[in-house]
Amino acid sequence: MKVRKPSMKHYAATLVAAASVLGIALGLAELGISADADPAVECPGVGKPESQYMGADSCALCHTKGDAARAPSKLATLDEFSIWDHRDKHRIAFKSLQSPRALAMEPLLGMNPGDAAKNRQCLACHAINLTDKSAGATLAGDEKSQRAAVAQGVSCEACHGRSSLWIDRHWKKGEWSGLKPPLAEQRYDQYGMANLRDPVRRTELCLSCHLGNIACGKFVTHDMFAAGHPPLPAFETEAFLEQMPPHWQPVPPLSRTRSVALEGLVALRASVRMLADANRLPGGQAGDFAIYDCAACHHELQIPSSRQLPGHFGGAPGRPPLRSANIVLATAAIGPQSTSDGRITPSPLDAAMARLQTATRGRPFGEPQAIEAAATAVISQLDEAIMNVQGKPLADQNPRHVIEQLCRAGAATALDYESAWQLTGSLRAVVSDWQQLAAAKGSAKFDPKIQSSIEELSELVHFPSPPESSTAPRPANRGTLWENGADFDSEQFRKKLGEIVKLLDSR
Amino acid sequence: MNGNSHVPNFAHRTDRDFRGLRRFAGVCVAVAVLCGFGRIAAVAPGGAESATQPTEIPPGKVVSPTKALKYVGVGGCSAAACHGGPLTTEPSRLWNCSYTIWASQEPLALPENRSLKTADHAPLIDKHNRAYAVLLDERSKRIVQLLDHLPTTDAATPQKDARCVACHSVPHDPTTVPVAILADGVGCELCHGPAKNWLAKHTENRWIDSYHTGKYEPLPDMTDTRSLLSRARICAGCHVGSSGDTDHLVRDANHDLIAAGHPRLDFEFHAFLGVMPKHWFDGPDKPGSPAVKPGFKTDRETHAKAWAIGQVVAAEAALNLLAHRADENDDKDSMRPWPEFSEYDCYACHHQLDGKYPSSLQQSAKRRSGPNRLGSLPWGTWYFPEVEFLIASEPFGKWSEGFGQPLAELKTQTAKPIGSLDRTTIHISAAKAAQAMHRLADRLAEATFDPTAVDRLLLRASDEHFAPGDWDEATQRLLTLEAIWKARQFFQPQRGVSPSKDEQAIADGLDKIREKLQFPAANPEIEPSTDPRRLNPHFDSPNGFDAEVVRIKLFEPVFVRIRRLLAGDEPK
Repeated sequence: MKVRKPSMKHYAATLVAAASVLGIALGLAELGISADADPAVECPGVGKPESQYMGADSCALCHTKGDAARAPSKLATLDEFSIWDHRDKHRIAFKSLQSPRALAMEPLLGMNPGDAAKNRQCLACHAINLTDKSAGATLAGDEKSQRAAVAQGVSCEACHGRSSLWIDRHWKKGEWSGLKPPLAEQRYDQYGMANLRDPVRRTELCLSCHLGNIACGKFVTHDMFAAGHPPLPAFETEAFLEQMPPHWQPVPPLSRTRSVALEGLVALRASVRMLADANRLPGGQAGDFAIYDCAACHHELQIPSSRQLPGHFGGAPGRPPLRSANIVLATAAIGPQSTSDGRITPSPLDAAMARLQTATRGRPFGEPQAIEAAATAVISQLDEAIMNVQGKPLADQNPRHVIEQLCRAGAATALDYESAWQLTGSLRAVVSDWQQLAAAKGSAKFDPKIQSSIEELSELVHFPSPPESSTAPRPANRGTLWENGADFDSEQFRKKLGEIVKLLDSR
Repeated sequence: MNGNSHVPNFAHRTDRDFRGLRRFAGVCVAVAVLCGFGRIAAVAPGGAESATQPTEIPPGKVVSPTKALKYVGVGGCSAAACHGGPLTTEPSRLWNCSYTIWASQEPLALPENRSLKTADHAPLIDKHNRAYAVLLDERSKRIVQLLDHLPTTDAATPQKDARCVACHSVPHDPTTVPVAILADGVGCELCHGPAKNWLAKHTENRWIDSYHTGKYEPLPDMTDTRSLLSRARICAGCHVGSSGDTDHLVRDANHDLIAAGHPRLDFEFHAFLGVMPKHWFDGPDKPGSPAVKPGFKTDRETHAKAWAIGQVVAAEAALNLLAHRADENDDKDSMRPWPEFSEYDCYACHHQLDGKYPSSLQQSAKRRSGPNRLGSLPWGTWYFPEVEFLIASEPFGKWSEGFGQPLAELKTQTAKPIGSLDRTTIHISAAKAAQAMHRLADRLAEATFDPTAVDRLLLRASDEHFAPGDWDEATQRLLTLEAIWKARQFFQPQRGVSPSKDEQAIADGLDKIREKLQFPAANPEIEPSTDPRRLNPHFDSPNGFDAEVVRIKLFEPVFVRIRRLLAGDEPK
């Protein structure tokens, strides 16, 4: 994790933040149901330390009516605010903090009635992230406009970054808009706008809420789940993006394939960081069961039990195992390693992950020091793997190869429902990339049988169908993890993956 | 399950448990060093990688029991003229067939009205005789295979594993005990004491006379099994667990062992006594009937007293075991797991998440404030609620004041989030609380559970404010009500006359609660086998249990009738 040195400017911003009217105006609750953001950590999609949230209405001034001709760049059509406002579920994220369920959760978490909608930790994912109190995580405007801005839920700046430094610059031709790649990217970094076309940053940003990011003050704790917070299903960037009404322009061919090749690595890195960060919390990660595989403890006991078969506990009965989500995608991204004599060996990542798993099992919840060391090793393996993929030109991405890697990795693992769901999301994205490419080149190499096989996989995991049109209303909730995963048959799913590998081999 | 609604077992649960698996408490890691990890190094699957896993803990020191082997085996007791005589129900001749009863492999078919049971205990198999035999079956092998990462079940030898024999047979290093003696399972001497030094003496007329004239004193190494207190302490040594000492190895059925397939332990002395075929005579089962032979103690208080003593002794054993588990300086099994999940309510975690909102736990969450707040692990839900109830209900007037204080202190420490537990403080507090329980148990042994005390307990147990937080608390309260209800029935002068409407309804209501608290069959379409040795597939957790529903629908109607009965307000 990049650690930035606090500058004098930073401290100045801290003072401003401390004196800010925000906390008072919104009456933000300080209940500490999870940790606040660590000011020394650079959080995805946040922006410069000294920048402020301006509120989505500032964006609406330009991004509402839709006029591609007037747009300073091909990246925008100036109707982004409207699409988000009318059809994107992020827009209603704040409302759920005032839902009957939230009201029922409050007393169970020791909160006063109505406090969820004022709590920094809740708002961090249901609106904008104000947990980074020491940095400039402040919101401009008077009390009324502040309240309105928070009530807009996960609004523009929650993803694109606090905008006070760039809102007046990012549209200016010559200064920013229309610049060629290296220069445009420099602007993003200079003013703290999140470059969401970068698949690594994009995935990290989504994951910061959909998985969690303890260092950035975003963590759904076990207490919150126990009180009634819905489970966070395993995240797969492409699948989740598919469910969003796009307020962005189509991505170039092979972008989705590259995104898939990267996202597993990024997601695994994020989840290992969660473990390492939780390990440093008071009481260690034992203090929060949410880091661990829910179903490892939460199942009815049965006699006889399929859990009491060799290998089920990774060789340590009675010790909670980590969640297995994200591992299979990362394994697929790295692929099998073969030695000079052609034998397949475990990759360095596999070995590092094995050491991490072991460190969490030496005793229940592991030895903190062993976990710290093992997590650091896994993260550095993943850093390296991510750099490798990033270093390759887009044109080098090979959808056929990626599909094969995904299927092989899945077939070789004891897949649980979440991993199978993620795998399906990735396969769907890559196969659509492949199909588009084949259609553009008039190539016959694409086999529709593969696509239909992936459709069958989708049915096995109850994958949501994509929205019918870009103007469809907000998608319905897709059922909870437990409902969808209840009838999952791992054997059947893996058999199907094996069939896809055979199909690919036969061509 | 076995067709007798009065048998206080949990259908398949206790059936299974008594088969002996329950007793598979182990020295776990301590002796794993001897017989587990030593082996792993030799046969570690997957080569060097798995052999270096920290789950395979570096050897800690093993303290082996030093008491010299003084076991002679059941063969020393089973002569036909001694304890292996023909089955009889004649109280004065029971001693002659006590081995025969223990050894029977079939449910004892005894004349209906003259069974060994006191009044309503059905004859059953004494499963202690199979305690060793179960170590040879697939399930036991699988447990050791999983714990020790063995490649196959055939590589596992639970019968030679000190973690297992610590409860399933002679609690000594199994390599030092002749297999013939180990194979007896939980034989006579496991409860009565190793017999080498008293076998001959206890056949002498002098001692037999002292036994019958009531001046009975156990011989050296012989355990006093006539006193409920000393009997309960023997049972708890395995059925709850204990740290090792000079007499026996560590006995700890911890969460690792349970996760590998060992049944959880849920000992309740009075109920357990009820499912064991008695090879002894406690006293006449009708008040007022003359003692069978001069010198036989007539213990009319068995039900209430066994319940009270059993609760407190189990709590004492559980606290001593916690003190051991939390003791970082005790290196008998220095790498035992901590935190230890089996200290907590199993079903707080082990319930299916089905996506339904709100869940029954979330609905009743307001009742679970404080340490048992939602999302936390409630500690000690099995062993302590009824002890607290017993202390609070003061059956003998101001009497047990102060005994509960150390336990209350410990509870504030165990209520902390599991990552913030202070192991040293818990070790000290648990030992202190155990001492208080020890004193309380001693005191209960001297107390008289007369009708006043029994009625007082029954009334308090039926308190309208009783709100079980979980299955453990509900089940413990049922066992309390059953024991105290039996005690009350015993004292009724008109006993034998047909019960009043309320009395019948209370008995039926208790049966209904018992039925509801039993774990469901895994597949309701499969007719369960009636063979008590067969393991029927079943849930091992109270699938769908809802504490509020059980309280309102099942407990409350019984409570109302009990209160009315005790107030003498029963409508004619």
